[in-house]
Amino acid sequence: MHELPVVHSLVEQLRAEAERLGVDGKVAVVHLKLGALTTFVPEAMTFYFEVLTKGTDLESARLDVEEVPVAGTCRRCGEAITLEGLPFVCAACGSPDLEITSGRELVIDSLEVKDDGAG
Amino acid sequence: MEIKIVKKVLEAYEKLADENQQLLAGKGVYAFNLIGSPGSGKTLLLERTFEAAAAEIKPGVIEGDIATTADAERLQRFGVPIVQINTGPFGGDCHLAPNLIRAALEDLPLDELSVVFVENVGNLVCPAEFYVGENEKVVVLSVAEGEDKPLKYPLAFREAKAVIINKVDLLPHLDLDLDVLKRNVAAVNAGLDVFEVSAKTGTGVAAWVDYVKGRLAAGRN
Ligand SMILES: Nc1nc2c(ncn2[C@@H]2O[C@H](COP(=O)(O)OP(=O)(O)OP(=O)(O)O)[C@@H](O)[C@H]2O)c(=O)[nH]1
Ligand SMILES: [Mg+2]
Ligand SMILES: [Zn+2]
Repeated sequence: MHELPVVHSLVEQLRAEAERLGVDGKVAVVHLKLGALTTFVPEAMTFYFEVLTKGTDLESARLDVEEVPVAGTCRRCGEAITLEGLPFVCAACGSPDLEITSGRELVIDSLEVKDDGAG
Repeated sequence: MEIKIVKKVLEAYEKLADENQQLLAGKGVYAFNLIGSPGSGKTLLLERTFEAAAAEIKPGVIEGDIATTADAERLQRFGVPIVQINTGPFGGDCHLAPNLIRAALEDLPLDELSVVFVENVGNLVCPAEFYVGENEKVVVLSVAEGEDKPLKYPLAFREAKAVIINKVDLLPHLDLDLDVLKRNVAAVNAGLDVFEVSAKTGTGVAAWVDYVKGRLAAGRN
């Protein structure tokens, strides 16, 4: 329900980045990393992306959302963990004392740009 | 051709929130961000908290009611500084964004306060997502909402440091199993401090108020 303002900032940032890189009008795919713990819904993100880029330099760009799993390490046994679901406990020792290091991402990872055909 | 970017979409948001935290820390003020469903009892909990300890904890309030000033009016009798904010276009109407909190902080007499309570917009989804510069988030969950809420809204319970299980006076009228609710809370975040409270009768309010005082004392060290 709150994807619209977030996609709005995303599009503004993309516009600035594309300009800085001299690739405005040539962005084909935007790769976005989205943590599984965030409440942003990928389908809503891509929908608003289409709406907000229509008739702009980014119109032909597609938003690709890659989900990043919730992961981290167990503070008790040191095991690296990836959580598939609840509960939030270490799969190795059962401890709930986890250091979560990923799963909250909302990151523009990379851009795929159309080649000019010139080079 | 692929160009690596690696840039946080909410970077500007986070920077503003960090600045809010610096402003608060500079004044020695601790900030709670209260989040919870509409009607879970956030405002009534603040009323009980101020009845018990307003003089001691020197609170200020930032009210995030979307459309009315009703909550702010309920708190007026305590004579504590209150800033009402209307959610702006950046944040939509579903949560308080850090730029709005900044403006509200500038309207509060921070030099005279020890604690600021932000009553976020009633909603368990969006307010969980955004750091506004608070020291901690507290979820206010009422027993009328059902046992499954922590499982359905895990982010809120992951981001919080404490959860108030409110309206326990209603338990005799409900089928809710309090143990199941607490187990679900622990499944999402076993490190949460849990308070069983009735903001109506006052049950459990003292323990919560002690917790608040403890946070303020720790902040002064
Ligand atoms: N029985 C009972 N009712 C409560 C309790 N706490 C709050 N209420 C009632 O629940 C209703 C909502 O309480 P509020 O304090 O306005 O809830 P809120 O979370 O601030 O609501 P919003 O700001 O609209 O999201 C009111 O009618 C309160 O009197 C409680 O512990 N027990
Ligand atoms: Mg309220
Ligand atoms: Zn472990």
